[in-house]
This record gives sequence, structure tokens and C-alpha cells, in this order.
Amino acid sequence: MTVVHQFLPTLSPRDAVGNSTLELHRLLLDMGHDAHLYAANIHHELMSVARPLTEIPDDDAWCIYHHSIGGVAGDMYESRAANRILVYHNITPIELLERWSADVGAEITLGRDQLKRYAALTDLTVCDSDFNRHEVDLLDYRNTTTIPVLFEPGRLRHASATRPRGSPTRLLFVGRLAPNKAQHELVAVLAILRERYDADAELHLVGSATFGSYSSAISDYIEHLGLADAVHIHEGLSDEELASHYALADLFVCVSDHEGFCVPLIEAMHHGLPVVAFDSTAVGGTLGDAGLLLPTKAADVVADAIARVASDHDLAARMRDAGRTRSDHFSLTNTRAAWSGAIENTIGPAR
Amino acid sequence: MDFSGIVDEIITEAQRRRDSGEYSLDTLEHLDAEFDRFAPLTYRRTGIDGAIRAVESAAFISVEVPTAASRRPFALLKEAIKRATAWYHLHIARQVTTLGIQITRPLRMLHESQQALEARIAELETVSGPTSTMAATIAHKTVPRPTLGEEPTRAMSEAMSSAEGRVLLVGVSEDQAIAVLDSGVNAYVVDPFDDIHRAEVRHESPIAHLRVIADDVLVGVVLANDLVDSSSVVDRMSLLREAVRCIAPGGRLTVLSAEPIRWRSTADAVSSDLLPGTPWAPETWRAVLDHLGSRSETITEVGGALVVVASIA
Repeated sequence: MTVVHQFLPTLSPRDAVGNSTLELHRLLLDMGHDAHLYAANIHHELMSVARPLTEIPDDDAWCIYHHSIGGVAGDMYESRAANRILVYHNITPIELLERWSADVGAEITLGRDQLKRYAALTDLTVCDSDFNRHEVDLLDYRNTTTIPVLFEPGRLRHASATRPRGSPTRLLFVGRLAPNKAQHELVAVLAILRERYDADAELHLVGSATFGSYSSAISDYIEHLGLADAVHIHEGLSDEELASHYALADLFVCVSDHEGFCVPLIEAMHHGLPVVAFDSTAVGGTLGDAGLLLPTKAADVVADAIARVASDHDLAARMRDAGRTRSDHFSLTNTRAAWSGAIENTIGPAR
Repeated sequence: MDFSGIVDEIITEAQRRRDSGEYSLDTLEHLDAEFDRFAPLTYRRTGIDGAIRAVESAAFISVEVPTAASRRPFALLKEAIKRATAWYHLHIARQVTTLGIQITRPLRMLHESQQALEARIAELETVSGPTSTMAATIAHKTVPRPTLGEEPTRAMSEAMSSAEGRVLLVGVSEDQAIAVLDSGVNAYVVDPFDDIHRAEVRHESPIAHLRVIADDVLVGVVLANDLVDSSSVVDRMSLLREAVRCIAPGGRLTVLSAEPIRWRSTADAVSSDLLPGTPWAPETWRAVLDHLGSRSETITEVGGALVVVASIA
């Protein structure tokens, strides 16, 4: 068996990088490799799956490192003697976050600096999206490839959830409450949508708060605009509860300034939600031509787009069909096959 | 499936509504500004001017209390309370706004003062900085560095030979540095031009190096050659002041300088025209060192050079 050490800064059960890492771990084991998982920070639910980063043996085994922020895991990757595979999930630009957190800047700067240094010592670089791949190509990485995040779009199951006919338009966005995801601009969109089209429209934001100052500002903003009854923020949901939100929503709306891949777009399409999104970073590549991809996120334009989809049932139906087809493209079967090929070509078959 | 045609229709329609005045850009800007009221200030993003404007904007308290509610009776109740208490909110809002203006006014004055200073510094840098630096660079490249004979070097080494402790050599040639080291002095060199390699060397500006040294930690400092002779009066005085500060009481400051009358008789046109300073006469050295607190000075003329040795009190 070929030994493979996989490691990353933080292993959490409910985020895209964590889930993707766990799927890759399963794939490596299924392929017959002697796979091990390590992380600098391990969520308590995953203590039995992963070991602390410091326990990685100092050997010449293959290593797969998931890079999304600067830190000691990156140093560990750099210190390995050989046989390195980098999975690049992208790093949010500092300009989008520095206003909200004084301490995140150092980790971002370190992460970008580390990324530059790894070009010469990496045997294979796997990127979630072509947007991420473009970044590493500019840094002279060799042997790069794009394989979407490993996850099963249909993994979320829910009890049947229905809403009465004639209910107000229900908008959904799923993602950490973070400045780069621009949830405050969705609140502005809702304000205009209610003023011009649907006075009872609601916005549901699902995601944990990662920037206290940003979460506070959004709450104050919502209160100030008199939208406390219309904007609902949901944190710490189970998979079933998340699935219910996808089932109950009318539209998925995304005006993020920065996404390295955006798993919720695919989950939304899989659950039959029409998607209206601002074309930034990796969003266009993930959505493809299966939704309304807007070249601007001016609140009036986004509100118009939502109103159009909400009122044009034929358009909404076509978007749902296109979305389901698009989400099939990212099925776990497809992404596992792509990863299997990349591993066999680089590491070779399990011995 | 291609929805780009739908997107084009939406963009075109939104633009038409904006052009007709049906959609007001003010509304969008107002929403952005409202969110900014709750966001943390940052100088790096907006500059000081933007930060002050944000304070001014936040100091304006709107009495337009939101009255929207999911049920109409609640909305009507909120509206009634708003009207009934409007006089009170207006009174408080005016006071808060006045406070904000009183706070931001001195900030604006400080900002304007800072801008004026920055403009003046930039002007001075534009006028004098590059010009004097350029002249000195041309002179340094064009004029051969003076080659004093062995006699002045030997005199300088002897002056420092009794030093017991750390000695700093500034502006010396490599041969002069070796001569001092060979006499048993515990010396190191600051050489901004990367000319010296056979001694313990710091490649940095002499004045910058001296400024970070603590008081009274050296037993001697040697200042030599064109670093002294061709520097401006201001630079030379700064260098001397810092050197004296670093020398412990009882230590020595030694200066190896060209003899001024001979220097003037042999100086070429480029040096005379462009160098910011010329060698000082013995009387000048004595006056300056007395002013800086020297206990006694010995000035000797050796082989076309002045060797100035000052005991530091």
C-alpha cells in the first residue's frame, strides 16, 4: 500500500473544504492506499477520523495539502522532503476583509506568500475551479488541473416541506456571514424588491458568523431599514434543516465578491432552485449557463432579475431544469473519477 | 440553456428606468451609505478625509424611525408613536448632530494642517533632495577618492592604539581599516559604498548607524576622508554630534581630514562646483569640538592631512 498523508489547517464537518477532504480520504482508502488525515485544528466531531498535524511522520510518503489560508500546515507542507500534491481552494483577498478584522490580514498575507513559494516544490496542483487554477498558473505552477470540490449534491435529505400557495417570495443564500459574501447587499436588494415588487418578500441567510463586526453591522442595518421581520439569519443548522431551506425557497441569490468555488450554488440547483447570481470570481464557472448570471450587482438590477424569475413561471421552470442538469455535472461519481485519474497518474496505483 | 438574452433584457430595462427617473441612483447610494454607518472605520480604505466624512455622516441622526411591520396594525401603531414623539427625537438628534460637528471640526483642521505639511515636505524633497543627492553622486563618481600617504594613516592608528574597547571606523579606506586593526584595536567599519571586505563591516549609512547606538558605549570613533571633507555643514555637524554622544567619557574622537589649503589648491572643478562641503581649517575643528564638549584637542598636520584627536569629557 502506498502511504498518503492528507492535511489541512482546519477540519470541520460542515464546510466545503472539510467535506471535500473527508471525501478524498474515503476515495484514497477505497483505492487501496494507506491514507491518513491530519489537521492543525480538528472539530470535536471528527477527532476519531483525523490526528493532530504534529503527528505527521517525517517520511518520504506522498502528502496532499489543502491550502486556503496561511499557517503552520503550510510550513509542514514546505518541510516535506518530496512527493507533494497541493489542493488550492483559494484565499480571500485581504481588501475584502481587512476592514472587518484586524487579525485576519496576517494569515491571508502569509497564505499568499506561502502559495508563491510552493510553485517550485509541488508535483501536482489540483484546483476546485478554473478561476483558482488561473491564479496558480500565473505563479508558474507546473502540472495543474481543475477538479471540482468533492461532494454529493444530493447528500441533503429533508422531510417533505411545503408552503401554502400565494406565499411571499422567499429568497435564499447559503454561506458564512462574511464580507466577501456581501450578505448586506442582499439586504439592500430585498429592500428594493419589497418597495417595488413584493412588499412581503423574505430573505433567508443560512451560515455561521465568522466576522463579529460584520454580523453586528448587518443586524443593525436590517433593523435600521425596518426589515427585522423580513430577513432571517439561521446559524448552526443540521443537514436536514438546510435541506428544508432549499426546499422552501423560491430563488437562490448570490452577490458574493469572492468565491473559490461556491458549493451552495450546486446544492441550490440540485434542489430545483432557480439561481440569480453576480458574475464574480469562480461563480460564473460553477453556475455555467444554468442561471441568470448578472454582470452587475446593482441592487435595482438584482431586484428586477428576481422579480422577473418570480413572475415568469416558464422561465423559472427552464432555469430549474438547467440547474438540475448542471448539478449532475458535479456529481460525486464524476469528481471521484477525476480525482482517481489524477492520483493514479501522480502517485500510481496502490501497491 | 442560454439565459444571457434574459439578462440583457433585464439590464436594458433597469437602465431605461434609471434614465426615465423611475429608478433613482440616489436610492442605491443611500442604501450603501446607510450600511457604511454601521461598518467600522478604516483609514487605509478611505483615507483620513473619508474617515472624517464617515464620522460626520454618522453624526447626522435621522428622526425617520422605521415603521414597517409584518402586520398592518403594528405598522400603524409604530407610525403613531413616531409622530407623537417626533419633537423629542428631533431635539435629541439636533444635539447629537451638533456634538458630531464640534468633534469633526478640529479633526478637519488637523487634517488640513497635516496636508499642508505633507505638501511642504514634498516640495522640499522635489527641490533640494534629488538635486543635492544628484550633485553629491556626480562628484563621488567623478572625483577620485583622496589617497593619503602612510604617514596620516599611521598617526591615526597610533591615536587609537591605546583604546580598550569597541572603536567605530567611518569613511576609512580598506588599507586604513587594516592598519587600525593591525595596531590591536577592536574596531569595526561602517561602509555605505561596499568598498571594504577584509574587516568587520556594516554596509549602511553612517549617520543611521550612529543614531541607533546607545550613549557612551564606544571608546573611540574615527571619521575619515571625503565622508568628512565633502559633506555639508549640517551633515558633518550631525555626524560629529552623534559620534560624541556614543563615545564614553575619556574616549577619543579622531578625524582624518585633508589639509584645507592644500585641498583647495589641488581640487578639480567638479569638486569645487558640486561638493556640498570642503575640508575645515584647524581653528574650525577646535571651535566645533569645544562646542560639542571636547575636553582637549590635538591637531597635527601630517603628509597633507590633518589628524584631529579630541578627548571626550
